[in-house]
Amino acid sequence: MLKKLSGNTVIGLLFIIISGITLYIANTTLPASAPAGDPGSRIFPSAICVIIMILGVILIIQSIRKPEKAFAGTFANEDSKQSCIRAILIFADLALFLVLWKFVPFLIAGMIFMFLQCMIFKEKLLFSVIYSAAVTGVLYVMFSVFLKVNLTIH
Amino acid sequence: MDYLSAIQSVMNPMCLLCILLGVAVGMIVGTLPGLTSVMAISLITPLTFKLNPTYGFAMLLGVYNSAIFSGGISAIAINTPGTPASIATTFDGYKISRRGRAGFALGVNTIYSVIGGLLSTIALMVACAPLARLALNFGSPEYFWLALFGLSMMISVSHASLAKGLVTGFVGMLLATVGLDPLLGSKRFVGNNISLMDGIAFIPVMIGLFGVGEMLFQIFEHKKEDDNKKDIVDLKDKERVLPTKEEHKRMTIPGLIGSVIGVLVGIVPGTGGDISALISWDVSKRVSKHPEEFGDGSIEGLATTCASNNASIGGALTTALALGIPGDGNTAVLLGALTMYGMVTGPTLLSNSAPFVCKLYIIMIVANLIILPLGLLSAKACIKLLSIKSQYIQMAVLLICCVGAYSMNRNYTDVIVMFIAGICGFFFRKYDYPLGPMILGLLLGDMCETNLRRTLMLSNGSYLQLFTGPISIGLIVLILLAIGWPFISNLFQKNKNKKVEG
Repeated sequence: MLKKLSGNTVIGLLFIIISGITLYIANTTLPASAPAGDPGSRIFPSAICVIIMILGVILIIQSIRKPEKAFAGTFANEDSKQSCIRAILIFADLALFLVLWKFVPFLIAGMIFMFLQCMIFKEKLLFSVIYSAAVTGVLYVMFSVFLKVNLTIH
Repeated sequence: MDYLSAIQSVMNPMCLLCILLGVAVGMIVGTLPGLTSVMAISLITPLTFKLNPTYGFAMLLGVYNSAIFSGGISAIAINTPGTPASIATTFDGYKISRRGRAGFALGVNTIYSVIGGLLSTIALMVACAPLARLALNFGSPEYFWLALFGLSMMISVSHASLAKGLVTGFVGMLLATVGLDPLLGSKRFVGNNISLMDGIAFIPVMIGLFGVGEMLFQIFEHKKEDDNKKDIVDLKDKERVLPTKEEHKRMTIPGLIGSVIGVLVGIVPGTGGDISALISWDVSKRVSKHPEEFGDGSIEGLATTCASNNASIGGALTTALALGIPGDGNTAVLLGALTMYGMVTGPTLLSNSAPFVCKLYIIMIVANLIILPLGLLSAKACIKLLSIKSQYIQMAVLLICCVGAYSMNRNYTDVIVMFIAGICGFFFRKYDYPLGPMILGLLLGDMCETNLRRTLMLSNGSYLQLFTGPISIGLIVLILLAIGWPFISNLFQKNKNKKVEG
């Protein structure tokens, strides 16, 4: 199935699903009544959701009519496989940082995030340590010391 | 009198330092391909909230002007535009530098960017107040049409696919509905998250889309982009940077053409320096005595594109300050920053905050005057920047994005919003979904809904109220033109092609 789907088909489908869910939420949670003349707070988001769903269908039709590289084609050769894996790892590292930042001080979370990025990019160990400390340190000094922004999340 | 006190405020050492810092940051960002001016302004904006609005805006306008100008440095040095506004600069700039005149090309880039920037600031000072005065007569029906006019630009900025542009635009409009209902005050899509009561913050979305999304995309596309760097041109130590009198004579008219077109194109919402520079290059070629040189290292071609992309800044700011409609992504973030400073954007900005707007004009002039010596002196250093490995920048930018998004309101929800926007930004970039319409939708969606509903409430539900008044009719005509123009011009082009073939 994945081999036949193109990226635009998947995105078109996602638009339809997400706007469908939003339309459902709008119709179940937003008040229908409004002062005289006012179409109400539900009408605008609902109308937008319907338009997005229609555009999603158009996108799917367009992607089917105009053959393009299948979604699975992203992993077609070794180079693209490598860059895809790298992007996924960086993305996971970013997600990890956002979780870590809630529990440990910024300096530690930031350094771990930067160090892992350096590892993903296959940088040398010494460089990775120095670069991670330098970037995190400079940002900490700039925001925390000069701009008095408390970078600790509670 | 306003101008005198504005000059006094801007000539204060702290303000000058902020402009200088902004110009320096803009030069670095603009020179490095992949880092855009929108991204730089989005990332710098949270830093400026600790400063007073004048200093904050001094820094942001410094970044904006300088990033657009220095996008030409990499266009000239490695044939890769530093920012999209410098695409047309590659046509002639790189050819000139390949002939061993890189210093001269960089000199022309600096001088004519500054000329374009200064002329467009004059246009901004002349046009902004009358336009805002006209807009002060607007009631809610006119504001609704004005917002719709801005939104109609979603079509013109959706170059690759109309459906893709429209869908991102409507997603932006949908995001604008999150928060409290603008008229009734009831909650919409907020759930139990109090942080979302004020709506989705604009700056974290911009940082996510243009910062995280772009960096993830560049990491994903990490091919042999460093191959370009083998071709970085060398600047000879004693190379002439300034053009001669004769060369200036040849470049004056193209420079002026570029400036005028830049201002006019910049005024149209949704356009920007890239489009204005391409049009200027084409027009200058038509009127030139040496059209055969265009695309093959023409100094006229270089001058017109450099002047044009910087001139579009004044045009874009005119629409942004007078009407509250963003001319491009940069002005969208600047409008967002103004809102964060507690100012009400739109036509009332000029009457309510006239001294502040005067200061903005002076800052624009000073920023351009700082770019002139700095640009001429630091060209060599900027070229050195191009040899930095792109991954070092990508790694640092990702961390800056997180800190920037958080520091604005010290709100963790903003970081999550940025993260989600980053994922969307990556996929939108990967599958060629334009981001411009999304910004338009996010900024103008609320204005469109509020004024439509207010009009209907005042008229007891009568839609006829929307079509009364000359300004409304004028705006409707503009909207129809904006929607129909791409199709009409397409038709003209097809007819022209048929005639040529015939």
